[in-house]
Amino acid sequence: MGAPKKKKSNFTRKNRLVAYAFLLPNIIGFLVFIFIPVIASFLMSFTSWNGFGQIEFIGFENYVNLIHDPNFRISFINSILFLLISVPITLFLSMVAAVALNKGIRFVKVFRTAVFLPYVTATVAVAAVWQLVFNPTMGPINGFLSSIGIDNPPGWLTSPEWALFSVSIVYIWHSVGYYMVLYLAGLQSIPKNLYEAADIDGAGPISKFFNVTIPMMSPIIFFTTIIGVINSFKVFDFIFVLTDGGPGRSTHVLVYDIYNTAFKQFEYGYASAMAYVLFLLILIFTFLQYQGQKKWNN
Amino acid sequence: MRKKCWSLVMSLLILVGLVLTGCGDSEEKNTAKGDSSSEVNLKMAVFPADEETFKKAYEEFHKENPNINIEFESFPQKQYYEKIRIQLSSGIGYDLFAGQIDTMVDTGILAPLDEHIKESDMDVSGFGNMYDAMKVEDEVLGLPYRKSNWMMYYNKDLFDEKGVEYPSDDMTWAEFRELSEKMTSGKAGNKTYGAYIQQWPQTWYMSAVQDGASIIDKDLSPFKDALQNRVDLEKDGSIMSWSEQITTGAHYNAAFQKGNVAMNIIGDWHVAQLRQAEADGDISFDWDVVPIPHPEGVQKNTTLALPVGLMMNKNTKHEEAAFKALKFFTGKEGAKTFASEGYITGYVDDEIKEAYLGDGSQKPENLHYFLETKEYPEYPMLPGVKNIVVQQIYKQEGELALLGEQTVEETIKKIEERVQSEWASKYEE
Amino acid sequence: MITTGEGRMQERNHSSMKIVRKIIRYVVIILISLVMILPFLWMISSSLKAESEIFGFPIKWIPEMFHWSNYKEVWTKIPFHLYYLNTLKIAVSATVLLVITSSLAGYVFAKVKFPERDKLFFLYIATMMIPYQVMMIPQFMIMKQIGLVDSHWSLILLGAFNPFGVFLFRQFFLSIPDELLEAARIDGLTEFGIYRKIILPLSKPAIATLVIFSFMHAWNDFLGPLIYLTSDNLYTIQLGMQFFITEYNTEYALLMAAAVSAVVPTIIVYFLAQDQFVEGVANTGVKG
Repeated sequence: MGAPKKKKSNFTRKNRLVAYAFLLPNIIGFLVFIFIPVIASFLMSFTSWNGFGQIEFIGFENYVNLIHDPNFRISFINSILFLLISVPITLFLSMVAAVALNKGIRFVKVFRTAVFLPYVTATVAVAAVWQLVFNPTMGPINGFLSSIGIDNPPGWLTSPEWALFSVSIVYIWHSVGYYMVLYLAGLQSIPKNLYEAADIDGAGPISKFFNVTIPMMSPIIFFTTIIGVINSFKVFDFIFVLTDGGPGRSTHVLVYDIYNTAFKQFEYGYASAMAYVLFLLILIFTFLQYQGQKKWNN
Repeated sequence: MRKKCWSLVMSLLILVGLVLTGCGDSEEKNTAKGDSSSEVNLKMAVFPADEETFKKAYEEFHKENPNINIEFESFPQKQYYEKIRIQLSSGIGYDLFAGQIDTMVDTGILAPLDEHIKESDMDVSGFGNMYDAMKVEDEVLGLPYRKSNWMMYYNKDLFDEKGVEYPSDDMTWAEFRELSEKMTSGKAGNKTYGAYIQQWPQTWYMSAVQDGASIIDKDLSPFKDALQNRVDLEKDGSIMSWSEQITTGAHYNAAFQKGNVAMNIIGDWHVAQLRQAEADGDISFDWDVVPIPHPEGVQKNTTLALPVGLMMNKNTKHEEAAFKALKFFTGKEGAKTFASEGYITGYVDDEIKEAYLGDGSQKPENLHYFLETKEYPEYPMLPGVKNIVVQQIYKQEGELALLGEQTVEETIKKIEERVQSEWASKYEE
Repeated sequence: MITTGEGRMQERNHSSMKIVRKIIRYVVIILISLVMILPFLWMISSSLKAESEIFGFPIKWIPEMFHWSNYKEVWTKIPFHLYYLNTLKIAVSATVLLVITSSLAGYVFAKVKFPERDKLFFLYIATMMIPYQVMMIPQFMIMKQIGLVDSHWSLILLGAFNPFGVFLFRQFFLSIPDELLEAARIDGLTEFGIYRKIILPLSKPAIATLVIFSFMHAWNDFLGPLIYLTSDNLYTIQLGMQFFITEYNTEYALLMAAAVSAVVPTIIVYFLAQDQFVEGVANTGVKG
C-alpha cells in the first residue's frame, strides 16, 4: 500500500512542478493585473468610495440599497430577458453558419468574411442602418408586415414592449460571426479519421453530426456558452447607440447601470456592489451549464 | 504548498490595501518642486474644443507672467470627467481644470476661491448672477470662462416664401405653436417643418424653468404645461415626432441645414456651426436669431444658461500662480479672447460685448440678443446634486409621454415621485 | 410533373433537383451575406459623403458626389499614421504575449493533473465574470504604482493576461486525445516537448482564432487607451477618432472615413488567420 502511494505523491509533485513552470508566465500577470483588481473591487463594494478622500467601510449597505433600487430591479430583469432571448439563438445560428460554411462551397472565405463583418463594423453604422430597418412607418420590416395584412405592426425600437427584443435581434446579428469563428475552429480541429471511421460504419450526415461532431465539440460548446452568457451581460455599446436605454427604462441593462453609476455618478462602491450581483448571476448560469454538460456527457 | 499559496495571496491583498490608500500622497510630493519665486509649471485639463482658444489666451498670459508655464491636456469630450477623475484620484495632479462644477464638487478637491478673489481685488461684477451659480455652501469653487444659452434660429427664406412675418423677439409658447403650424406644409418626403426641437429633455422642460421652476422642486406642476406644449407641437405635425427623430438619427444641425425647418431652438454654439456650413457652401438660405419663446407673463429673452467653469485643485503646490492663471482666463483678458472666438463668456462688459459681436460682417444679424438675456441656470448647483440622476428621470419619463404610453398628467406625477425617491432621499441634505 | 414513373426521367430529375437545391443554397447564403454586410456598406458610403447627406430616409447608398477629401482630411487633420503604428504595436505585442502565455497555461489546465488545478482554473474563469468597469480603477492604480501609466506597456500587459486566452486554449486542448500524449510520453518526450511538438501543431485553428480575437480586441479597445494614455503621441486609432466628436457636434463623415481606414488591418488579420482554418489536423493517429 505504502509504495504506490509514495509513487503517486512523487508523481504529483513532479506534475505540480511542471504545471507551475508552465503557468508561471501567465499567472504572475494574472495575479497582478486581474486577480488583485478583482479583489480590490470586491472590497470596494463595501465602501461608499467616490475615488477621493478616506475610504469608508459601510458594510452591506450598498447591497441592501440595491434590493430597494427600482432602477436596479428593472435592469436586472432586462438583463436576464436579454440573455434568454439572445444567447440560445446566437449560439444556434452560429453553429448553423459554421457547419454551412465549413466546406463544400465555393468562395467560402468570402462568405465567412461577410458573416464576420458585423463584428468589425462601427457601431454608429450598425445603429444607423438598423434604426431605419426598424423604422415603424417607413422601414422595410413594417412595410412587409402591413403588406401581408398586419394592421398594427410593432414600433420596434420606439416601443417599450418591443425595444429589448429589437436590440436582441441586432445583437444576434452582430455576434453570430464571432461564435461562428469559434465553432469553425472547433470543427476544423476534429480529427478526420473519426469521420472516416463513421463512414465505414455507414453513418449518415445527421448521425455523424450527433455522434462525432457534437461530442468532439463539447468543450468548445461549453466555452461558447459561458462566453456567450458573459458577453450578453456585458452588452452596452449597442444599447447606447440604438436606444440609449429607452424608451423609458425598457432597455436598461445591468452593465449600462454599472457604467452610469461608476463613471457618470462616480459611486464606485455602489457600482461594485452591482457588479458582484451580476457576478453571482453569471456564476449561477455557469454552474447550471456545467451541471448540464456533465449530465450530457454521462 | 497550499500554505505558501495563501501567504502569497494574503501579502498581495495587503499590497492592494497599500495601493488603494497610499498612492494619493506620493505624487504630490513629486510635484512639490520649486516655489513661486522661480519658474512654475502648471498642468491644466481642458475640453478638446476649447484647447485652441485657451492656448491663444495663454500666449497673452505668458507675456505678462513669463515665469509661469502652463501645459494643457485635453481628452475626448464624452469621457472627459471619467478621465480626469481617475487621474486625479490616483494622484496625478492637475493644478487647474475646466468643467461643470457639479460633476467635481463631490471630490472635495476644489479649492475655495473667495480669499484669493478678495486678496487680488478681482472684479466679479462682470459675471452677473453666474457668479452665484458657482457657489456651493457659500464658497466660490470656480469661475465661469464660458456659458451656453438657448436661442431660436430661423430660416429667413422659408418665411419670405410663405409671406409670413419673421418671428418676433417677444413671443409666448402659445404663439410659437401657432406660428409653427402656419409654417408647416407638405407631406412626408418633402415636408417643411415649422420647427425642430432636439430630442433632449431640456428642450421641453425649459419653459417651466424660464418661469423660475427648478427640476428638483417638490411640486412639479409647472412642468405639465411645458410637456403638454411639446406633445401639442407633435400632434399638430409641426415638428418631427420624437419616434421619428430617434429612428432616423435626426440631429438639429443637419436638420436645419437641410433647409426644410423654419425655426430651430438650440444653443448658442449653433452659430459657429452655421457659419462653418456657410463657409463650406453647405447652406444657401439666409438665417437669423431671435430669443426663444417664453411662457405667458415672463419677460422676453429669458433663457436657460449652463456655465462652464475653471476650477483649482486644493492640492496644488502653486496656489498663487494657479489662481493668477484662473483669474486671467475667466476674467476680462481671457473673456476677450474667448468672446472674439465666438464664445459667450462668463465675464461680460461692454468691451467683451464688442469683441463678441465683432465688426458685424458675420451672420447672424441679431447676435446681440445673446448678450441681453435674463438667465436661469439649467439646473441648480446644490451640493451633492447628481444632475445626471435627475436628467435621466426627465428623459425616461418624457419619452414615454411623447410616445403616448402615458399622459402628461401621469408623466409629471411619476417624475415627481421618482425625483423624490431616487434623488431627494439620497442626495438632498 | 416530376412524378412520372420512368427511371431515366427520375434520374435526370434527380440531378436537376440537385442543381436547383444547390442554387437555392447559394441564393440563401448570398442573401444572408447581404444582410450581414449592409451596415458595412453604409459605413463605406457615408465615408464618401458630405456631412449633410449621411442621415435621412431613404438611404442614399451612392453619394451624390464622392468626397474622397474625407479620407485626406482624416489622415492629415490628426496624425493618423502615428496612431496606426501605435495601435499596431500594442495589438501585435499583446497578441504574441497572450498566445504564448495562455497556450502554456491552457495546456496545464487541460492536460497536466495536479491537485489544485480545477480550483485555480475556476478562479481564472470567475474573474472574467466581473465587468471591466469596476476593475478599471484598481487596475489603474496598480499600473500607476509600477509606473506604466501613459505608456503602451499598460495596454500590452492588460491584453496579454486576459483570462479569455487561457480558457480558450484549455477547451481546445481538451479535445486532443490523451492517448496521443501518453504515447509521446512513452517515447520519452518532455512535457514541453509534447506542448511544442504535438499540442501546438494540432491547434492551429485555435491559435488563429485567438489571434483574430486578441488583435481585434486590442485594435478596437477604446476604454483602455482612454484611461491609460494621456500623451498625444501615444494615442491609438480609437482614441484619436474621438476627436471628431466634440461637445455639440459629431463629424460623421470623417468618423466613418476613419472607421473604414481603421478596419482594414482587422480584416487582413481575419483573412490571413482564416488560412489556418484548413483541415491540417487530418490524422492524429488515434481513434476516438
